[in-house]
Parts: sequence; structure tokens; C-alpha cells
Amino acid sequence: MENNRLDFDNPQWVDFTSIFGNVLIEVAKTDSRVIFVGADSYRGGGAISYRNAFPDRFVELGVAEQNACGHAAGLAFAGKKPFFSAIANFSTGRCFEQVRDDIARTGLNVVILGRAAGISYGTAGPTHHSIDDFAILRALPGMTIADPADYADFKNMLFEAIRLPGPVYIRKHKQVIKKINPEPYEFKFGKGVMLRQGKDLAIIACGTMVYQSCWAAHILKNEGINAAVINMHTIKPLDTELIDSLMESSGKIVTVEEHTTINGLGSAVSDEIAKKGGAIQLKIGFEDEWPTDGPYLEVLDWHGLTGPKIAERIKTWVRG
Amino acid sequence: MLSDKETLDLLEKSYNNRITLLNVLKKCGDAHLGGASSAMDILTVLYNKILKHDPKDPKWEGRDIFILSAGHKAVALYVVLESMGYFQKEILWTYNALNTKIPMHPDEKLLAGIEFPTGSLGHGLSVAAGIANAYKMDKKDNRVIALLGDGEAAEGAVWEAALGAAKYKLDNLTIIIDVNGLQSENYTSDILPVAPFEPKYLSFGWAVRTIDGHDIKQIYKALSEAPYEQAKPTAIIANTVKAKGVDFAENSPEYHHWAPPTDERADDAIECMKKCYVMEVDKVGK
Repeated sequence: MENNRLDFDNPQWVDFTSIFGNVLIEVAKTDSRVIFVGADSYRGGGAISYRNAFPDRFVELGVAEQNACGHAAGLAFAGKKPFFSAIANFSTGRCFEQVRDDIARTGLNVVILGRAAGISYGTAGPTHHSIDDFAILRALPGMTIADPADYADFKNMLFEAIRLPGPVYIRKHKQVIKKINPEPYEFKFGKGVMLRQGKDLAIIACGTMVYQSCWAAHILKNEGINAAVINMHTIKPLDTELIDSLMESSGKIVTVEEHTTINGLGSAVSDEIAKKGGAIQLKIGFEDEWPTDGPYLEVLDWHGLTGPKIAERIKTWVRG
Repeated sequence: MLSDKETLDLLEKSYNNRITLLNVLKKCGDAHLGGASSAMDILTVLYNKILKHDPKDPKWEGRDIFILSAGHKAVALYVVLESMGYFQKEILWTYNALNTKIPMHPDEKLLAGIEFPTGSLGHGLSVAAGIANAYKMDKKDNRVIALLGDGEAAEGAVWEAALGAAKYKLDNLTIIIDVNGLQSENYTSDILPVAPFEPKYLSFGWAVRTIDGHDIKQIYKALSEAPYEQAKPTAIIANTVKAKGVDFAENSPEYHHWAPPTDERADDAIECMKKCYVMEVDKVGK
């Protein structure tokens, strides 16, 4: 299917922080065990409405992510459903050992949110970029890692995360396309969503790159290249069944992610290809490099992560 | 207040535990002798007199939660849990063996009675405070007690957690700091001076007492009277002797770990422990 409803000249963006609080209120209404755990990040992180709605189920522990993470583990140990939110690098990298030992190792159902993941904080520099969050978390057994492509993905993830038995990491982007999934669509962690059919190759993308990949596919179509696009919103566990079927149908797979090409979505897909054989792969993301600084979309473009640049890379790859 | 009889009974249990500990070292090799023996009186009093727990039903909802934040003292905890009937003694002799249920650092998936896996220092207080906070929210009266080391206090996360516990007024949370004055490589005063603890915890908003961590009556009193102030978490600063009871090892940086080089040397240590027991018995009632 052609994704006709996307207007590539005038995309409608959404900032997940602006909707986070209200979605969390809805989740919290369905389950009295839900608790928000913040690390001086609830205002910018969009949890003010939640704080007003559930002041007794709101824990703020200051700029102390290691403690917040361990505290969330303790809450989960005692039966709560904590949502621990901080800027992505701080909720994963800063407290990585607490995530590993206290949450992943124990298998506790803590939902970790990575606010402004990837290079959402374009001008803030490398301390505030997180293009390695999948990489470090993917090494942890039992970790679910998710990157929502649009509002519907994000909302579904928040609702479904507390139904999983173990820990979940969800990226909370600042600028992402408002709607890209079909309507209705069935959301399930670990199940990719086919957005567009195409016989020549398949683009598997996650998060913000799903939109950019649809844009690339739109451009490629005019060049005579028919690319399928898959919203692979869950990096772990990976929808290997879908990847196997894509290997069979086209034999050419492109992965696109707002993340380093090391140990993210692309590497997860590579692992499956290496196991089964049957496809060649082009990995698109940040190469082994530090991202530059600047306005978000300009940084994406600088690193070749916008639709036209992705299309160009793919065209060269396919045609040489 | 414990009677002299109760005190003597606990002292006997504690020294039996220490001798079992030394037998683990004799049979199985290297273990954290120093910190295990410095914490043994505290652990013995905790499990025999303070914690609500049921060895036959380790997940009993009404139990108090004990977190061994200084996870390297696990061998002492194993000995105490075995003495309480959590598992068969044979398991103790698998220490250091392949696929043991009692690894150097405790693993809740392997052994009933272990609440939370620890080992990397500075994690336990955050987790304990999270549990205590949840119990406050649910108006449950289960206590949460954590044992920390003094070397562990160099980890910044300990102090993050101390602030958070005070903010949330967790008077259902008690920590005991086993201040034996040494850590892995040397004296704590040499590695990174962190003492005194009492003014630090007071200034962090905790209620604090300092005790002799080998005085059974003081340990019991401090633990049973907590919380000392409403709406404040409790810190008990327990001054202890590293490798307590093994006179050639006491207060020596060489005995953080110890693998007895020969059975005879292990037996020497056991003899020292028996003599120490006699001296401790003599102190009771005086």
C-alpha cells in the first residue's frame, strides 16, 4: 500500500512529552499500582498533569538517577508498576549498573523512559544525545526495547508495558510524526507493522526513522525502486518471523535508526540474517562517530538521516 | 532489653555461626572472612530477634525485608540462614563450587531467603528505600532493614539514597552500617576517609545511634527501638572489628578475603574463635 496520507512537505509532528502526562493518567486509572518516578525531569518530561492527578503516586528523587533507578526497582519489588523517566542518556547510561543489576537481572517490571532520545536535544551536545541506548540495553537478557514511531505506538506502549513480566525501555521523542501507523492496527511488543509493500527491498526502521523511511520509499518509487517499509517498533525481542519473510521476498534489507549502527536495530537484524542467510543488508544510522550539534532536523540531515538522503544511499546501494 | 540469659543464648548462636563460617573457609577455600565476621553478631540478632520471617514460608507477605547491601558479606548471611533452617547444611559446603546456590554474592533466584541480589556496592539502600516507600504507600507495617559496609559509603549512590529516604520520611527503613574500618585494599581512612558517619546521617535528616556492633544487648536495643523519631529513617552506626574473633586476622587488611593455606591454619582460627567466645561470655552481665 502507498502511504498516501503522509504529507512530506508539511509533516505533522508531535512531542511525546506534551502527551505523556495525560496518557500516563489513563494508564494509572487502569492500574492502581502505577507510580511515576522522576529525576528532576517531570516538568520538562511532561508529567505535571499526572502529578496533579496522582500526587500520592508520584515520586521525585532529584538529579540522582542511580538512586531513582534503584528506588524504582524497590517499588517494583514491593508490587508497584513504576515508570522511571529521565533524559534518555541519564535513565540508561548514567544508571546503567542499576538498570542491569537491580532491574534487568531481577526481571522486575519497571518501565524506563528515555526522554528526548536519540539526538532530540540537537543543540545540547553529546552529553544529552543518546544514540547508544539500544546498544547498552540490548546486551541485557530479558529487556524489552521499544522505539515508538508515532503517537499511537507510544500510547500503546505505555499501556502494554505494565502487562509484560519484565523490564521495558521506551524512547520518548521530542519530535516525531504524529500519525504513521495504519488505522486500526494491532500493537504488540515484538511484532513489526508493515506500512508499505514493495518487491525490490525492505526498509526496516524504528522510531523517528519510520517516517523518514516512508519518505525515502516515496522518493524511490519515482525512481522505479519499490521499497517495503516496516515499523519495527520493538528492537528487542525482534520480530524474526517478519524478517525471515522479508529475506525470502526481496533478499535486500535496509535498516534505519536514530542510533549508532553498532548494536542497535541494524545489528539485531544482522544477527537474524547471519543465522538464516538469504539477504544482504545496508545499515543506516550514525556511523561510529559522535553526532554534531544543531537544530534537530538539520542534524538528522547532516548525518544522512532524512528521507531524501536515505533514498540516495539506498539508490546507490541498489544500483551502484 | 535482653536478659543476660537471652544475651548468652544469642552470643552462643553467633559464635557457633562464626565457627561454621570458618568451617566453610576450611572446606571450600576463599571467602570474605573479615566483613563476614564483623557483621555476624548483627546478622544473628537480626534473624533471631528482630526480623519477622518464616524459614518455612520465605515469601510470607507479612515478613520484614532484609537487604544485604554489602553483598560480599553473603557468606555470613548464608551461615545465619542455614542456622535458621532455610536450607540444608550440605549446601554450605558447596561454597565456591560450580553451580552452587550460594555464590560469593547473594542471588535471590538461587536461594530462598535471599530477597535481592547484591554485590556491586551502593545499590542496596536505594532498593530498600523503594520497598519501604511502597510499603508506606500501601500502609503496610513490614520493616525494611539493610546492612551496609563503611567502605561502601564511598559510593555516591548511597548518599543519593540517604537523601531520598529522608525526603520520603521512611521511618519504616533502618540501616546498619558495619563500620569495621577496613575495606578491600586497606584501612578506610587510607583509601577514602568517610567517617564520621553519625553527623553525616544526622545532617541528611536521619535519626542516628552509634553502638558497639559486637555487644548483643546494644545491637538488640538499637534495632528493636527503631524508629527513634517519627518520619525519619534510622541509621545505626555499628563499630565493629574486622575478622572479629580470629586474633591473628583482626583489623588486618590482609584478611578481607582469606583462604586458609592449610587445615591446621583453619583450625588455629577456630581455636581463636572459641577463646574469643569465652571472653565475650565473661563480659555479659558486667
